[in-house]
Amino acid sequence: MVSPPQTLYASTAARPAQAQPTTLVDLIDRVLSGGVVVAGHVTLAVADIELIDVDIALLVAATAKLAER
Amino acid sequence: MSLLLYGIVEAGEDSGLRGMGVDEQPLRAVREGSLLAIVSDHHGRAPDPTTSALLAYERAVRRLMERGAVLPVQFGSVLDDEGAVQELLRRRGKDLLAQLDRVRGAVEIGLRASWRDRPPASDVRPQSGTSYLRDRLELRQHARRVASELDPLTAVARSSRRALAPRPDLPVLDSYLVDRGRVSEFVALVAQLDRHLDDVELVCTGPWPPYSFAEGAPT
Repeated sequence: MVSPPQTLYASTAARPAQAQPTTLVDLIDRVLSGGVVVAGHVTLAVADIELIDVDIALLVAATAKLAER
Repeated sequence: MSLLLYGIVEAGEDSGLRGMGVDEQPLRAVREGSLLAIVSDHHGRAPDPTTSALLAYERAVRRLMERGAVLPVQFGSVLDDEGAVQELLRRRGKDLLAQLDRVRGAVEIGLRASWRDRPPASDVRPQSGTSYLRDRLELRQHARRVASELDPLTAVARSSRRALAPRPDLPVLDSYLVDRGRVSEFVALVAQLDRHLDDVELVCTGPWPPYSFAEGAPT
């Protein structure tokens, strides 16, 4: 069936270590800023976030976008 | 006790509607007409976006994708109770069904174009306002040129979303809605374009549930 999200193709096989964290960034960006928007308690407290080599600017930007609404 | 929403699917097979969500809470379905909202119990306001919570969330939505068409719900969407969920499905049912039709049988593929030779973003030194703006303009012009090279991909996809130069190291960040049966054709075309482009590297991610193609207006 459908496989888990992964890096499907990288032209430079020599950089697999870089590919993994950026796929996590892609996941976080999608889950936080994509999807159907539902009225309700969508106020996120950005506290105690465990991040593994994640682009902090991207995460903060996505949550700031949500906080605006 | 509130309800955390994960995704919206059509009533039908029960398989894939169970399992665990965030905080080890079991998933269940709330039905209204032919639509199901997949939810889990949640205490208080929206869950913290910890990596483990986001991964658990994404895993649950991905299981829904294996069952069939799904509209992912944005992380952190909490409603008061089942009545509120049913009201949401009732009020927006027509639009949600149309959206499900648009994504049925397709998956989302992410495409990242990054500069092969640029220094990483952290190397950018502080500069004057004018030179910063000039650099940004130049970056966007380069990004547009890279983006135009990716036009052939639209022929293999149902739909696409684009961000031009979202970060200094990324001229293009796209999402494509691709028929399941055409994913390998799509990736092969990306590989072909990558060989052709000297200054950027193309990387695909996915298959994802259609986060970027499930649009909902705030109510």
